[in-house]
Amino acid sequence: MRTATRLQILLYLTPALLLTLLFFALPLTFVGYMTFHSWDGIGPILYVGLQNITSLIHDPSFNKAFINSIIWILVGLFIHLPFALLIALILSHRPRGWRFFRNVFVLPNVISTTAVAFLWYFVFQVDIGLLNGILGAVGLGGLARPWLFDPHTALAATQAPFVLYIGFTMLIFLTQISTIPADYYEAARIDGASAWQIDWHITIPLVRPAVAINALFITGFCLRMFEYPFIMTSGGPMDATLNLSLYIYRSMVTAHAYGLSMAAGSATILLGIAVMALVFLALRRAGGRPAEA
Amino acid sequence: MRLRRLSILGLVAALTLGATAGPSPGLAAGRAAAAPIQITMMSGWPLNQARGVVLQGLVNQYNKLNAGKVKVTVDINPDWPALQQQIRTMISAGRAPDIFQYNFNPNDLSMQKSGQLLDFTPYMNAAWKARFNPHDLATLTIGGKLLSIPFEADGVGFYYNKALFKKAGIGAFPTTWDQFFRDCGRFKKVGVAAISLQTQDDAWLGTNILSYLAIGLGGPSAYFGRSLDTPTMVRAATLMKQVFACSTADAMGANYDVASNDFLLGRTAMIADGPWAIGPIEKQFKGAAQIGLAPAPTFASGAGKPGDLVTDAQSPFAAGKQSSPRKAAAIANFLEFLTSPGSVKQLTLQGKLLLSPKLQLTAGDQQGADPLLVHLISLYEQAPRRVVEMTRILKPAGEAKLPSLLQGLALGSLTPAQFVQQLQASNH
Amino acid sequence: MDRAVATGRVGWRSAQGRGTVLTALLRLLQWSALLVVLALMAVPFCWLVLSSFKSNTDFFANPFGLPQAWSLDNYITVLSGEPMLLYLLHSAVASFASTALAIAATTLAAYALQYRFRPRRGVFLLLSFGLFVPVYALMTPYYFIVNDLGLFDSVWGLALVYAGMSAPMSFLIVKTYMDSIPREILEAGRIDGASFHRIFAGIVLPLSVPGMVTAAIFLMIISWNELLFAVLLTQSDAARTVQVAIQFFLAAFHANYPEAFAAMIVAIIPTIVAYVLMSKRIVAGLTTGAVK
Repeated sequence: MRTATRLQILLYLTPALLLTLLFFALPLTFVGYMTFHSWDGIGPILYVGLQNITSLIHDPSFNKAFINSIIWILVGLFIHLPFALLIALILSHRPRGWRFFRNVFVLPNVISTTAVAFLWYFVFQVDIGLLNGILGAVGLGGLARPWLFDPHTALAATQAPFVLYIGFTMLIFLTQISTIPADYYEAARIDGASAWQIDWHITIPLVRPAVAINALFITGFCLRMFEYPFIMTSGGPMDATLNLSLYIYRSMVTAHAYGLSMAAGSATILLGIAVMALVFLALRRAGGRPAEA
Repeated sequence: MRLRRLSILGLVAALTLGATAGPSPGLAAGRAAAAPIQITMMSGWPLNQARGVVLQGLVNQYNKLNAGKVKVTVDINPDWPALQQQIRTMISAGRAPDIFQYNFNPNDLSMQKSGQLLDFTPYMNAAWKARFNPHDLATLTIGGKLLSIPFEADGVGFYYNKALFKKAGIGAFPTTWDQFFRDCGRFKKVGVAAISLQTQDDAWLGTNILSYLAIGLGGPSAYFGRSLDTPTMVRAATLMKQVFACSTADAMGANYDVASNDFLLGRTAMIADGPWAIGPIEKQFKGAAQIGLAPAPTFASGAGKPGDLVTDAQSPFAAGKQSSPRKAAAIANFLEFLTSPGSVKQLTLQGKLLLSPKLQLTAGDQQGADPLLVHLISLYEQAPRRVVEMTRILKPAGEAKLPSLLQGLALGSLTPAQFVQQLQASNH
Repeated sequence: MDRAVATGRVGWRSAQGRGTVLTALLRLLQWSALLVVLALMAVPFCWLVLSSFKSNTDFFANPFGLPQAWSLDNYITVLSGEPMLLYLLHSAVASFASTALAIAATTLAAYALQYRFRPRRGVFLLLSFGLFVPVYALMTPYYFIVNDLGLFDSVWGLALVYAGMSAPMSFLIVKTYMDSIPREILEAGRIDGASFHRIFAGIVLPLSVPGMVTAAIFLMIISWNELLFAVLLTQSDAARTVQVAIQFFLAAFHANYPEAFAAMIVAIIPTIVAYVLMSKRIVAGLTTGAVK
């Protein structure tokens, strides 16, 4: 479709470009600049070259945070996303009351992340927590443990709400599924395909754009999110649940080390871009280009 | 059709909104030398707490006294870390708040050195000076300038549940740490934990104990030396680990609320906390005859003296530098009012705070006041030495690292020696 | 049968008799899974509501039990102590305005990107990469920007920031949906002699509505629940939002959780109402479909 002048295109792009420039491009020059400087938030800004970067590389907390963020993304892409897709597929068949189910599934995402984090903080408490309470009630009391303070279980515990509450991801899948033309299903049904075959051969391939988008959103969420570790474990025990976002918060707000914080910010963005490149590569490999480019 | 019109309307409206958002009032207006002078004070005390209510009452009183000349408004943000972050950001943008409260840290003088704070020296007349402890004033004088007014300095005492002590067969609050550990076992036998601890957020309840252990062993300068990596600190860390065993299972990973409610609900027998604990205690225990307050245990052969008191950071007032001398004078005048004997008495007795300006209580005042509060005040005034809590005097990087190191100590993944080494290493 | 025809989708029932036992088993599995997930999803909301009727110590005594004494005290405190209606209004203005602005801007941009032009992919990346930026890193720059624009302590300043922050997400949702509009329709418009603007207003915009509504739902909920910048960029009651007010109940050393939960419930109700109203639009979009 070529019948559009450059001016028309520019006109339509301008508002979004302005927003992006003002709220991302511009602030990120600050982030990039501060990566090579040191600042306590009030005093003078001093040039330190690569010192921040070397500090980060040698900081075990940062390394832990980096790895944990990667784990979050992996959990998001390989547990949260398939789970959301499964639920979306089930609901797309419009079982009785599907609208009610859809709305209730979205409900936890409507509640603020803070509230959900508090809930799960109490679920995992040792003496007054729900999980240990239930385990005790069904005779599995031996399994009770300090979920949030045991380095082996802490990270998974902070990820529990993320894995479960797939409302938004599911919604995007449902919206995408709704764009599949009705006659595809007609034809398949006439040919005698089962519901499962239809899902596998028609729906799933056609939701690839939604997979791409959700992968983007999940990655973005995992990199920005910090309520779960912040409220449930404060990043502990001993940084076992620390992620990049919380690291950035701590180094800026508590340690007053803006340079270090911004360097970590740059690392986060680079990680995000790397993950997205990998995701798009994988989707391309799996056949069919994602609909965006 | 209708949808299209609505959409276009919506688009136009949205773009117009974006383009015509005007400047907000309060920003530029405040500084102009118009009468009455407007002063905005940023406070961390919400109005559902006694201290917030008392402060607002004092502000109203002051405004009435100075009607037409000065008007003080209070902007409240009870999220203290967020408030401090906001203040810092404002200072870096050259918009220091008119009046604010902050935690003074002798190892982080960035705010004072920014040049954005008001120097109170010209306003410090003899009468006002006499309200304060000379030592406090000296501490807050940086580079010859008095950039803060001493205000809040909360002492940390041991609140204990007398009923639980009786149940465990313990006669009196332990005066030595050896006794404490023995009592710990007795409490376990009756299904109660000895003490509430916290490892989350800033680990306040945990670091209180560590501070007391340290000064009990090494005296008031235990963690003020050139290095934190000393045998005293290692010994304190070793004992700290044992104290963790005297707390609840939830202590690992507890935040302040879980830990303090453990005490209120009778799951633990003691808690080392500041004066703000008194309100909830009295609400829960209805009059608090059941709750006692004691100074910390000490060591028979340590350098600490019985009654040595660990305190929270000094939380003084500071003010942004003003271009208008009238406004600067008004700010000083208001702070003088807030630190006057009448205000200090109100804030202490009704607001349940401990303040560093001198407090004069008559016998009548003492009778009418909270017994726990009066007791804490006497602990404060009779303390041989007062030492600021450890976490408040570390450099920011060390402060950020301490909670996670404490967790490592509790878990056993760090030996006491490693704990101290890493604390020292991170304190740069 | 009729249902399957009407919706054009194959229900579990019409699997062509391929092993009815298997079908029944699958159906049982499906329903059990749905019900279990339903329970798990409903827990947060139910827990918040239940806890909001307890006193603070009752809550800490037993966070998951029934209230020892059901009481409306928390709601009374929340609604009478703070000017909640004012804060709700501020949140509403910030959410609506930012969502409208972001959706408007990104829908226009998504349409522009339907056409081929030189830096097309670059523009796409530019408009979406904001998704990865950890928001804490942007605190200081945003404060300076808002301050310099004279929009500190103003709902409009907050709205502008939210619009900017959520633009990438809005852009991606709308664009993905817009991409699914068959090219033939656009071609048909062009052949009919419609101009660039006309194709947008007359064809693309109406067809993109479900995508825009989905994006609107996300954006409104996200900006409604946003806390960090609401705290940083506001100071007084003139602009305070409801999330900031909720934090008041969670103040360090004096937190009252049930009161905070009551405040959260008060804050959630408008979002639920908004969601219910808007989700009907998605359903409308689902059944009209793109192809005649």
